[in-house]
Amino acid sequence: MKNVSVSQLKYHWRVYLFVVPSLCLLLTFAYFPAMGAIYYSFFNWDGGFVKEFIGFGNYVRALGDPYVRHGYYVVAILVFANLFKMIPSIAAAVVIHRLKSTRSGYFYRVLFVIPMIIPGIVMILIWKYFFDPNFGILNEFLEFTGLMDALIALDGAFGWGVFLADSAPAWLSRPELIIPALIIWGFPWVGTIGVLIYLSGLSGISDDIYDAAKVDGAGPLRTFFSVELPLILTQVRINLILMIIGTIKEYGLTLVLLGHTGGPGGVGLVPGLYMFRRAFYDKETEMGYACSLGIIMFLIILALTFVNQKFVRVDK
Amino acid sequence: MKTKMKTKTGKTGWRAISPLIMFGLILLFVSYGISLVHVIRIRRNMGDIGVDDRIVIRLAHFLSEENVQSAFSKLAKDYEELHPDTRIVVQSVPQRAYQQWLNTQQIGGTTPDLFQLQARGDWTMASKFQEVLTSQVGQVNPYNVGTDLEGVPWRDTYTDGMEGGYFFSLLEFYGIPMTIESTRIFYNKDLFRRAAGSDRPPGNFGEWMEICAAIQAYGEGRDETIFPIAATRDYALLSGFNGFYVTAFTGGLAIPYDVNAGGGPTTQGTLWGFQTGTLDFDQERVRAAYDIQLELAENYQPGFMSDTADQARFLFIQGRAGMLLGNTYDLILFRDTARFDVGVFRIPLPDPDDPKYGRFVTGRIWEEPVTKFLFGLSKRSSHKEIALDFMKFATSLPNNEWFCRQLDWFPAIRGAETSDELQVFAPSGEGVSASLELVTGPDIGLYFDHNFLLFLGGHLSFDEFMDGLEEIWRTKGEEWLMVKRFAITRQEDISRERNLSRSRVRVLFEEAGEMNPGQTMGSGTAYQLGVQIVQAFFAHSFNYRQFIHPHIKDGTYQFPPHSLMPAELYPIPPPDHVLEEMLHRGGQK
Repeated sequence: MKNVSVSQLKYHWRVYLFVVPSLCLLLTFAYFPAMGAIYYSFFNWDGGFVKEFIGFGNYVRALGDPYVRHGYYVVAILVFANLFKMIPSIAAAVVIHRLKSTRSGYFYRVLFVIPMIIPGIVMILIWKYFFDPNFGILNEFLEFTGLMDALIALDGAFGWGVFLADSAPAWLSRPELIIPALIIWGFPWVGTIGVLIYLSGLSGISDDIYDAAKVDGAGPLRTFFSVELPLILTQVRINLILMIIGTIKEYGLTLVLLGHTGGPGGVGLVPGLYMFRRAFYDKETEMGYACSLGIIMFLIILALTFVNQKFVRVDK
Repeated sequence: MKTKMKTKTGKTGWRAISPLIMFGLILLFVSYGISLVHVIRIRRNMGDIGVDDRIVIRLAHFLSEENVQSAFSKLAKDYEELHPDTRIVVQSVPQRAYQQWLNTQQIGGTTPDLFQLQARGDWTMASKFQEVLTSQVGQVNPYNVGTDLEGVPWRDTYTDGMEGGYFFSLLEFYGIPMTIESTRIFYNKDLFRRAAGSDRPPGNFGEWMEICAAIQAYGEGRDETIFPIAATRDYALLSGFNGFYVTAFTGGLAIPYDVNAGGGPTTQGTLWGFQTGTLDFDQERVRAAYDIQLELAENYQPGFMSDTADQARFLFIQGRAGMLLGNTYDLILFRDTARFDVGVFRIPLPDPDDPKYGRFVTGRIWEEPVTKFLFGLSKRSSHKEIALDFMKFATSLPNNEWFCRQLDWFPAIRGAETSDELQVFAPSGEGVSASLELVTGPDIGLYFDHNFLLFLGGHLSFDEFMDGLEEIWRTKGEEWLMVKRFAITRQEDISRERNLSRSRVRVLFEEAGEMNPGQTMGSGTAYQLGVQIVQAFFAHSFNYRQFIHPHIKDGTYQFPPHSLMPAELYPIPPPDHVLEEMLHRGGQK
C-alpha cells in the first residue's frame, strides 16, 4: 500500500473530507458496537445497572462451559455437511453456464435471483412445516418413495429406535433426528447467491479454452474437472469462507425450527443461539457473558478465515 | 468543456433517457413526494392539532384481531361524539414486531399517547418513558355517573384495586388495565360429542383422561389423525401444565425454606436446603406432579416439542386436535375461525379419591385476580389529560362491560356483567398460591428446558431428571446466586416486606381471611379490601427500610427472625463494604 505524504494530504484534503462522513458512520455503527462488545465482555453485566469488572472471568467460564463445547461440536458437523452441500450449487451453475441458448441462460439466472427477494425466515418457516411429523411433506415424500420402509428396515437392523412402523418420525422433536434435520434443511441445497457467484466465475472463462479442450477431446465431465472447476476455485474459496462464517454465526434457523431451547436435550443449541439466549431470552440476562461468547465466535471465524486464505491455495 | 450525454440513437440530454426509465423516475419521485406529504401530515397530527383542527390522541396495541380493532374504534367514535374537538387514532401493530416498534418510537420521541404494555412491571422502560399515574388513579372516574360506581375513585372501580397497573419496583401506578386474563383449556364440542358422546367438560383429571382416550380411539379408524390435545413447546414448559401441576402438588412443601414470607420456599432457601442436605426434589409429591404430566403428554400430537403456539392453534382450528391450552384472548379467535362449537374449562385436577394422584393434591390453584391488557401513558404526550380521559371513558362500568362483551373477555371493572359462559374465566380467588420452585437463574433454566422435554419424550426417567436438576442447583445455582446476590437480596427484601404487609392487613381486617402459609391466600375480596392499605404499608416499609432493615442486628448480619434458617448458614452474606454501608445508614436514624 502506498503511503500518503503530508504534502499529498494537503493537496487531496477535499477528497479525504468527503470520506469523513462515511468513515464516521462506519465507526459509529459498525466499529463502536463491536468495541463495546469487547469492553463489556470483561464485565459481569446484565445489560442494565449491574456491572462488575471480572477480567477474563467470562472467557474462562466460556472455555469450561459444556454448552459452548456442544455448540461448536454441532457447528463442526454442520460445516462438514455444508461442504458437500456446496456441490449442487456448483453443478447448477455449470449446467446453466453451458446452456446453448443465451435467452435460457438469462431466464435461469433470473430464476435464481427471484428467491433472493423472499426473506430467509419465510424459507425456514416453510421448512418447519415440511418437517412436521403429522402433515409435513418430508415424511410424505419418504412414504411415497418407499424410503421410509428402507429407513424402518435399517432401524430394525441397527436398533436406532427412531424410524418405527407405527409412528411418523418427529424430525424436530427426537434428539437423534435434530442434527440430520438441520443437514437436510434446504434440500436440494442450490443456494442462489452461491450459484450466482459461480456463474460470475464461469462467465470469465474464455471460449478459446473451451475450444482447446474440445480439440483435445475432453468430454463434459473432463471439461468440468480440468477446465471449469480449476478456473472457478477463487469463487469456490469465497463461498467456502462465506459458508464457514455463515454456519458458525447462524442461529435463526435453529431458533425458528427448534425454539430457544435448541430442541429436546438442547441438541441443536448452536453457539449463536446460546449467545442469544444468554443475552436476551432469560429473565436474568447475562450480556457480559454473551459478549464474550460473541468475541470468541469472532476469533474462531477470524482464525478459520486466516487458515483458509493462507492454506487453501488457488493455482490457475 | 461541457459534454452532453449521447446515446446510440444520437439523442442528447434528457431526450437520451428511454421512456421506460423516464416512467420509472417519475414513479419514484411521485412516490417519494406522496410519502413526504404523508410523513409531514402524520408529524403534524402527532399529539398536536390535526389537519382538521382536532386534537389527535394515538393509541397503539398489539392484538391484531379485527374485533379488537373494531371494538376500540367504536369506543373512539363514541368518545369523539362526546368530545368533538378530539380524534382518537387506534393503531394495531403485530405482536412479533411490537416491542421493537415501541422501542423505536420511544427512543425517537414519537411514542403514541397511549400504548399497550408488553409486560407488567417493566420498571426500566416505565421509569424512562411512562407517566406516573398514581395521583390520577385516586380521582373519581366521571364516566361512572349514574352507575353504582359513581363517586368512586378510579382505582377502586377495578376488581383488584388496579393492582395490575401498580409497579411494585417503582411504588407507583403506571398502567391502566382493561381485562382479566386467565389460562384455560379450549375444546371442540362437536368432537367431544362424536367421540365421547357428550360435550360436557371433564370434572376431574380421571374424566379428562377418559375423554382423551375416547378421542384417540375415535381418530384411529379415520384417514385424518385426530389428537386429543394440541400442545406446544412453550405451554409444555413452565407457563402451562407444568406450572399448574407442580403448584397444585407441591404447595405448602418445604415451608421452612420460606425466606420472604411469601408462603413458599424461595431460591435462597431452596439452595440452603440443598447445601445442608435437608431438601431434595426426589419427593413423592414432586414425582406425582411429573408423573401426571407424563400421562398427559401421551395425548399431545407427535412433535409438539418443536411446535409453536400458532401451529397448535392451527391443529385445533382445523379440527385435528380436540383441546388446546390457551388464554382469554384466544376465545374470540377460535369462535371466529373454527367451524365447530368451542367450549372452555379449567385445567382439571385429580379428585381426592383418585387412587394415583388424589392424596398429593394440595388444593385448587389460586389465581391472582390481577387485571391485565395494560396501557401506559407516554411522557411525551402533548395531551396527557385528554389521553387519560379517554382511558377513563374506556374503563367506565358501561364501556368496559360493552368492550369485554364484544371480545368475550372477562371485565376488569367491578359490577360489570358478563355472560354465564365467560364465568369460566373468572380467576379462582382461593387455593394454592406458592409451591416449590424448581427453576431459577439461566443455567438451571437451561438444564430444565432441555431435560424436561427429554423427560416428556420418554428419553429420561424422573430419577435421572431430578438427579441432574439437584446437581445443577448445587453447582450452577450457587454460582448464579453469588453473582446476583445484591439483586436477589434486594428483591427478597421487597418481596418480604410486601408479603408481611399482606399478612398485617389480614391481622387488621378479620374479613380479609386467614392466610395459611403456602396453602391459601384467602378469598378474592380480601385483595380488594386490603390493597390500598397494603400499598401504604409496603410503601412505608420500603421508604424507611434503612431503619427497619431486618438483616442488621447488633452489628451483625442476621437472617430474618421468621425463618428457621440460622444466620451462620445463610448462604450469601453481603460483602463487608455493603454491610458497613447498611450499618452506617442504620446508625443515622
